[in-house]
Amino acid sequence: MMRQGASESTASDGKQGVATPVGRGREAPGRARGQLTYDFAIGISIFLLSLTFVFVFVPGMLEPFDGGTQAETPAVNRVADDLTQRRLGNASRPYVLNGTCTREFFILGTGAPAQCAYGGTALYERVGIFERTPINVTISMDGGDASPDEDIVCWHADDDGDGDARFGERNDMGSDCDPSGSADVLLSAGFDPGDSGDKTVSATRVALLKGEDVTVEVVLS
Amino acid sequence: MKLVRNCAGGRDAPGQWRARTATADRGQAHTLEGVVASLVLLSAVVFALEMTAVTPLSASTSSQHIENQQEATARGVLAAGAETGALKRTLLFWNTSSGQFFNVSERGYYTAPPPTDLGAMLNRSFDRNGIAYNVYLRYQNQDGPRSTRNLVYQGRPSDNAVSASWSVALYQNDKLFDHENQPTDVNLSDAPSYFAGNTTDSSVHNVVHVEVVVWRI
Repeated sequence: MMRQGASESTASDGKQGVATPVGRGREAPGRARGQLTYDFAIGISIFLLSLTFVFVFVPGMLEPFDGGTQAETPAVNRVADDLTQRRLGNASRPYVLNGTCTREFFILGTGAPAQCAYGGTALYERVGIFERTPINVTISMDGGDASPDEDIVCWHADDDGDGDARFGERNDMGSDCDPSGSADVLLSAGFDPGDSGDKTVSATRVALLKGEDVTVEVVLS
Repeated sequence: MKLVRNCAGGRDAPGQWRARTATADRGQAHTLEGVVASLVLLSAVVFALEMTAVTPLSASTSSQHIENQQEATARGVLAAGAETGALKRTLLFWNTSSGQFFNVSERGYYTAPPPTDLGAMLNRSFDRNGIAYNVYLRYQNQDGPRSTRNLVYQGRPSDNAVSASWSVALYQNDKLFDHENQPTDVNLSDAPSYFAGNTTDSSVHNVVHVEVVVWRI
């Protein structure tokens, strides 16, 4: 607020209004103009600083509520609803999954069974999204027996002929669940959400599979 | 804003005087204006912040997504429970001598998942994920108005609670279940202490509307 350039004789003129015209007359116009620029610079920089602060601060304040995954959020809900209410079962009995269709759904690369409500050989064709969108579909359950934690459902095929074909949690089945080397099927397909490092959107549904309540989780990236 | 403008235009040497006020005084006003404009901007932000209390439970697009998941999960639990009969078995888990469900708290409702198959499903889907829920049973009274009974009550739902419901028809010859979840030979029509009385002349005893209200805590 101080006008440093003002000469001593006029230092108090702003407040008092009693300055002498003589004192003022001594000031060169050029000098006064320089002083004005200096004050103006302080004023405008204070203003610009706070303006910048507001513009930087307000979007940052709203960002956590902004999502940022505009297209994926409805898509992931559509896929999850579609799978649990129609594609893996029957639309007349929503949330009740058909065992055969659910098992075959995770065997990619072969044609879909005729009685099931999905087609195509790849995962993106079976759920109805673009090929470039990474998707993961996982079905997990908790049988409530050996391990208290949930784990992915594993479908043990009886390919060694000892008559123990069954389905259950992977962590309960141990070596019985070997999806890589045998006809066993792990009910999980698609990209690994832990690996993506990107923003992901997930949708979870609870459904009934062979008398057990299972969780169907769909993740889109 | 021109706080220091001198109104001394009538004095002598007017030319110099005006030049002086037109330059130096304006400079001071610019500084003040800058500060005041900053204050206006900042107070607008503070005012906006004070108006909207943003808490983890505030409604937003992301919490809307979570609410959708909870609602769909509740619907899936009810549908799965109805398919396996777990929902109906829980409704028939009735202690005829005390006139309430087995093993309820003294208030007449469960505060944790009921010790039935439906309770295990609710536990897996909600309790383990730190989600609170109430289960209300709505039914027609014998004398007319609809009544509500709490099956599970964990507190007053928050503003962002969602709900899903399922209707279950109870028949006259449905058997009540004992405390070990085994069917007894007591027909529903022979249990006068049951909460939902007989409302029809047909074989249907009553229709119970099971409502699950879910919210984050």
